[in-house]
Parts: sequence; C-alpha cells; structure tokens
Amino acid sequence: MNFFRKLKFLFTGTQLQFGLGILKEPSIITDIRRLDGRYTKVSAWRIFWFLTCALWRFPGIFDYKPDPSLRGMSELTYIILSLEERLKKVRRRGTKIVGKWPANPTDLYYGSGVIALDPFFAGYCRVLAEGSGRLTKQGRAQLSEDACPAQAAAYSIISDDIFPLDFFYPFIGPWCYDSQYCFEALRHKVNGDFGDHPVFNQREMKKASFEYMLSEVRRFIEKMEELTGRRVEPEQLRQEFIMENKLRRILREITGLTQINPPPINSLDLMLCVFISSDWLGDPEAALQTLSRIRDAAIKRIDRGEKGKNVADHPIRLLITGIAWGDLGLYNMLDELGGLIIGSECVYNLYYEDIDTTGDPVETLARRFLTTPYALTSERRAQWTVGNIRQAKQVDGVVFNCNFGCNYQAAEARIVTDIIKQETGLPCLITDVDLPKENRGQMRTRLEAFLEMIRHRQAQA
Amino acid sequence: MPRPSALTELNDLLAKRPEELKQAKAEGRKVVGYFCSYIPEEIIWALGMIPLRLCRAGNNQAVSVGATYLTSNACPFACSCVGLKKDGRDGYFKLIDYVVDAPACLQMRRVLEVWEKYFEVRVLSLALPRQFYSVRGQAYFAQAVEQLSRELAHDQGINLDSARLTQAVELFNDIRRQQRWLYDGLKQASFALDWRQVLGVIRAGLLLDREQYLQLLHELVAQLKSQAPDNTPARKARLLIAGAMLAPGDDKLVNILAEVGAEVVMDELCTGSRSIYGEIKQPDINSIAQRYLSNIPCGSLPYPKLDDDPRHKHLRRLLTEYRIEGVIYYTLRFCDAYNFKAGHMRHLITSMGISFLHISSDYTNADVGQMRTRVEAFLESIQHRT
Ligand code: SF4
Ligand code: SF4
Ligand code: SF4
Repeated sequence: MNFFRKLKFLFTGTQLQFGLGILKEPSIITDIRRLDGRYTKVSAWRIFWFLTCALWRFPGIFDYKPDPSLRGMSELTYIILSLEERLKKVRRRGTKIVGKWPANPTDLYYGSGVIALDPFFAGYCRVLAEGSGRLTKQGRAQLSEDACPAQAAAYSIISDDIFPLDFFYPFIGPWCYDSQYCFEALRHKVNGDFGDHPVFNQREMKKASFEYMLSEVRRFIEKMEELTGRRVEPEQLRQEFIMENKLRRILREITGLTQINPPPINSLDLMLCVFISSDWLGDPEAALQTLSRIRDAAIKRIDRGEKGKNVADHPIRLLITGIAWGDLGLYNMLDELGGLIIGSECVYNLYYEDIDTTGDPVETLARRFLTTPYALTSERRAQWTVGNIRQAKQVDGVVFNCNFGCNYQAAEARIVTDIIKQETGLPCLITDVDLPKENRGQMRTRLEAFLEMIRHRQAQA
Repeated sequence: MPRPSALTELNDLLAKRPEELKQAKAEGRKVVGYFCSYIPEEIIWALGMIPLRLCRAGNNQAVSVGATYLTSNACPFACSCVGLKKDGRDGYFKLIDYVVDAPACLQMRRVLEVWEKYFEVRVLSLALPRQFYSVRGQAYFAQAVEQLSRELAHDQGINLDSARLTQAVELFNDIRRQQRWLYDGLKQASFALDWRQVLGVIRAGLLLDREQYLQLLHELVAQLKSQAPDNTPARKARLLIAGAMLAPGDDKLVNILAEVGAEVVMDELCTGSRSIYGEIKQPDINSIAQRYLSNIPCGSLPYPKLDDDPRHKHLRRLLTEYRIEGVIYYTLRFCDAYNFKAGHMRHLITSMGISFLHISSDYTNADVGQMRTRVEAFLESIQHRT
C-alpha cells in the first residue's frame, strides 16, 4: 500500500475509529505481568500511538477488518501486535520465555513462572501482519516445501530471532505431526526438551499412560524450576487454574453470544478472541481485561438489539473444525456472504471446559493432557464435536479446514465429516488453505455455494 | 561371479508366499499385519501367529485411491496403504486377520483409523512412547509390549509359553545376526553380493516364513563364505542411501542409480539396515521391549538434542565404516519426519567432507527425468572431488 493510501486509511478508516474509541475510554491494560511482579499501565495514548505506527510496520493488517466499534478490539489488536516488543522487554528483565505448541495447556507454563510463547500462533500472526508469505516461504526453504504454512512461519520467527525463546519445551502428542519435527529442526537454534504425551491412552494402557504423563508433567516443572531458580508450589499452579478458568469462561461466553439473534459479534472478532487462547499473548491478565471488555461490549449490544459489524440479519451459522482458517480475511468474506462462525473445534479450543481446581494440580494437568479433544482419535474427536453441535442452539453447517501440508487435519477430514454428517445430518464443507490471500476467489465461490445449499435446504424444510 | 542359489530359492519362495499364507489361514493360523519396525515379531510368532510386515509401495493408482480418504497432504506410502487395502487385490493385504499399530509415524495411525472405520479391519495398538531414550519411556514401552502380548494371547486363546518365546527370541536374533553378516560384507569391495541384492534379502524377510527364511539365510551365508571374493576392481564412488524407507515397489531411485551405474554400498533405511541391529539378551518381555525401543531410532521419533542425536552417531559410524563418499537422502513428499531433518543431515554429512543429495519424491513418474539428471550431476561432482 502506498504512502498516500496508508495516510488516507489512517485518518478515515478503522484505525481512526480504533484510536478514538480507545481515547474515549482510557485503557486499563497492564503490560506483561511477570516483570518481577510489577504491573505497568499502558495508556490509551500509548496504544493509539502504537497502532498508528504499527500500520507502517505491518501493512498486512490493512487487509482485515475487525470491528472498531466493539470496545476491547483495539486493545486486542494492540496485545497481538505488540507481542514481540513486550516479550523482548520482559526478557531483558530476566523473565524466561518458554516455547510451547498450540494444544499444550498454558496453565502449566504460566503456573511454573515462565511466559509461554506459541511460535505457531506468533509466527502466523506475523505472516498476517506483514501481509506477505515471506516467513512461510523462508521456513519452507529450510524445512520442506510441503510444510504447513504456520509451522514454516514458526520456524522462521525463531530461527531469525524475531521472537525470543529461552527454552523450547513443548509437549508432543497425538496431534500435529509437523510441530514435533519443527521443534527438532530448531535444535541448533534454541535449547529444548519435550514432554511425551502418550498416543494410546485408552483401555488397558490407561493407568500406565496416566502415570507416564504425570511423570512428564513433573519433569517439565523441575526443568522450569531449574530455569527460573524458583520452586513451583502447587498453590501457584492452582491460582493459575483459577485465573485461566476466568479466561476460559469468558471465551465460552463470547462464543455463546453468536447464538443470539442478531449476533453481536462477527466471525473475525470472535476468532481473534479464540486464537489468543493459544498462549494468551504472553500475558493472561492483559488478555483477561481485554476479553472481558469485548464480552461486556457485546452484551451491551444485545441489550440495544445491535448486531456485529457486517453480520447478516439471519446468518448461516457455521462451526469451524479441523484447523480454523489462519487467513483472517476469510472471516470477513464469510460475514459478507451471510455466514457466521459460531465457534471452533480445533487446536484453539483449549477453553472448552474449566480446569478442576480442587485436586492435586499436577495430576489435574496430566489428566487434562490426556483428555484434550484435539488429541483424541478421529472417531472420538468427531463424537465430541457432534456432542457440541447438539448442545448448541443453532448450527447450520460445519466447515472442516485443513492447511496445505498438514497431514494431521487432512488425514482425518473425511472420517470426522462423515461422522458429523451421519450423526447430525448437517452439511459439511472441507476447505484447504495455504498462504493468506491465496485462493480467495476459489474460496468465495465454494463458500457461496455452500451457504446457498444450506439456504436452499432450509427453505425446503 | 555365479549368483548364489539361495537367492534364487528366496525368490521362488516369495512367489509362492501368498498361496502358502492362504493355506495357512485355511488351517486356522492367524496372519498379523504391521507397518512399523517397532512391532516385536517374536511375540506374534511365539503365539503361533504369522507376522507380516505390510510394506508395499510404488503404486500410484493406490496412492490416488488412498488420497480420497487421507487427502493428498498425506505421504504416498500412507495413501498407498489405504489404496491397496481398498482395492483388495494385493496378495498380502487381503490376507491379514488384524493389524498391530505402533504409531512411530502418526500418519500411519491415521491409515489404521481409516482401515478400522471403512474396511472394518481390527486394529490392536502398541503404545509406543516418543521418548525412546529415557528410562521412563523404556518402562512404559515394556508395559505396552506386555499388554499387547496379553491381548494377542487372549485372542489366540492360549498363554504365552516361555519355551516358545525362547525359541522365538533365538530365531529372530539369529535372523538379524545373519543379516548383519550380509551388511558387514558390503564393507568390502570384493563382497560377492551388491547392496541391491542384500536389500532384496532383507525385504524378503518381511514376508517369508521366518524359519524357512533363516534356513535360507544360513545357506546363503555358507555359499558366500565358500565363494572366492569378487576381485573385479570397482572404482566408483561409494554411496549410502538414507531416509525413511524404500519399500518394495518404490524402485524409481534404485533403478535410476542402477542405470547410471552408481554404486550403492549401504543404506540407513527402515526397510533395510535399520532393522538388523540389536540382540535380545533374555527371552522375556522386558528384554524384547528394550531391543525394539533402543534400536536405531526411526526419524519419526523426535530427539531433543542435536549434539548427541543417536541417529547422527549411528550414521557417522556407517559413513566411516563403509568409506562412504556420497549420501543420497531419499524422502517421500509430505513426510515431515524425514524432510524436516534434511537440513541437519546435510550439515552433518557435508561437515565430514561427504557429498550430500536430498531427493524428495513420490510414486509418480513425473520426476524421473529430473531425478536422473540430479543423480548424474551428483555423481559427477563426487568424481571431481575425488
Ligand atoms: S495446521 Fe496441521 S501441520 Fe499446521 S500446525 Fe496445525 S496441526 Fe500442525
Ligand atoms: S520409517 Fe519409521 S514410521 Fe516408517 S515404517 Fe519405519 S519405523 Fe515406521
Ligand atoms: S515416516 Fe514418512 S514415509 Fe514413513 S509413513 Fe510416515 S510420513 Fe510416510
């Protein structure tokens, strides 16, 4: 985008609305929280200024249209885009940043006194913000031309030191194949270890798997103690559960709002909220404040009978599974076409239920690992999704998305959608996407046809 | 140099094997299929069942059929396993009673989910830990092997007999010993068999009756020992093929190498030398589990430290012992486990002054021309260096 277009955008578009919105209601967002216990307020001006400058650094964000009138969205954009600088700052002060993969529970990391960074999420955000596939292409040149775009970007942001990591300690389990080998491919760059999440943990191996998982969680905690020089007390983990349960509850509430007519939140805003559950952008407390604002603002809209920006009056409600689209523009496109995402059953759904705060926290975490829906067999994952569909009031269809190169999602697309179709009678669409902005034409046609088919079915019914 | 008659016999037996299996099944014996080299055949055999490694590849039509279940993002081997099962004509695939799954590669786990759901194949699981190197992993795996043997025994309606287990351990230890002898022979330029013939012998062992196979191995070794060494001066670059596997049928690269007259003297492949190492020390479950988990690890199991990666150590040893001048790292497309390792492999190998070529391919013939050109250029570059 050239200079003048940027300028014009700046003063007439979303950015100005964002800026005005935030100046009207001063921010209460804290800076990254584990700065030796200190909390820093980030002023509204600071956010305004940051976002203004971000437009020059991250031209990709011109391509996505979050709803600036939904209070909290500017803060959310701020904490997404400022992740790099906030992490670097906190690291200079001695806090350790430890890498994880999407399905790993964040509570374990934050509860152990380190900042969790999910390079998968951070990398893809960076790709979107830059508005080019540069990082993915660069990562693919190192890993494989068939690597999933997000994993390739994850590789690049770590190997290029864009995001700092003190240690890489993901849990590797029966999900994403690429991630374990991406972790391995970064061994020359960052020290690490991995927790072993057993693949078969059913039936007779249940007890042995649980004990194995438990020992892996304990080993992780010991390593974190060594890294930070501080003991991890069970109470600390429990407090983290309590704190993150609040986050999970808010996300469930926000997701639930899509069931209301007219829906107060659009697909992109909903998914931006959901995405951050991957690592809470380095700061669960800031995430909590931001998401609370968004929820409260959306609830106020319901009271006023207002709907989310660009949402149709009677949208076709879709559940997205597989892996949610990383190309954020697709959510805008879906809204425009009269659809609405009502939630995701994918690796980002770490908020599906609270973590039990009553038992031994280490055992609770081990159990949590072994029951994550994303890590179940295809059949059980499908059944879990079916259960969710039945619980939701309105779902009109299901999109199963695969990223190019993702063997994990792709290989279960057919089983999962066959079961969903059979059990719920809902139509399913399998999509596959690669780099952002690629294939949008084809996607538009496919989504249009899918929505049309659903409308037709509804009319007949 | 005359071809040892044991090799011809081996081929004859292979041709008759599907028929023989059919008969064994008719007599009530069960055929247990498996994919990964982590399945302890000893236990299957000791329980009176027939272990069969389902290692068939190279059929692109089967890949296309498989892709309708797994999508084309899956590796061609995984797709072809689905395609061949769906097709139902493969002499081996159609004979199995059930499959044991040890998910080293998670793509294969999906294959078995598809088999279970769409082709109603019974699948038993062997819980393989990723941490093949840790004491905890080892203990977990021992429990998993124990569990599998209980399930299989229950299925057979018998108990695992310790005398029979001892026999099994001796049988398979001896098979691996003879196979090691053959691979050791490839260190000498004058060895009477070439690598491709040795690979053929190993591949046959995945399918044949194991006692018959051992007998033939002994014959072959005896014949080779009595033969005068092949003193034809061979002065070509000594190559090693590394990677995941070259399953029977996936012969594109091997054929090109033969056509251009390259001399492969060793492999580091799952379907080749990787399965020949390690002795089972005691005829018990723990020792069996230990041999399988501490064997040269499959690249599907990650290892967290670069500087003491056991795969690298093993490869370094092979490169030195076999005086290797060039390595072809052969991987299948969408095989992240092996493709993502190419960078570190390249570094390891070239830092030893050895040439390195990475070929990532599939089962189509689309890249034959390009592959040949790359192989030729690679050989030329080695000649220049030397
Ligand atoms: S899209 Fe697939 S390959 Fe990519 S990170 Fe997710 S699970 Fe892994
Ligand atoms: S290479 Fe690894 S994953 Fe593939 S068959 Fe062999 S052991 Fe299994
Ligand atoms: S290890 Fe690689 S080649 Fe083997 S089945 Fe898995 S993906 Fe395919």
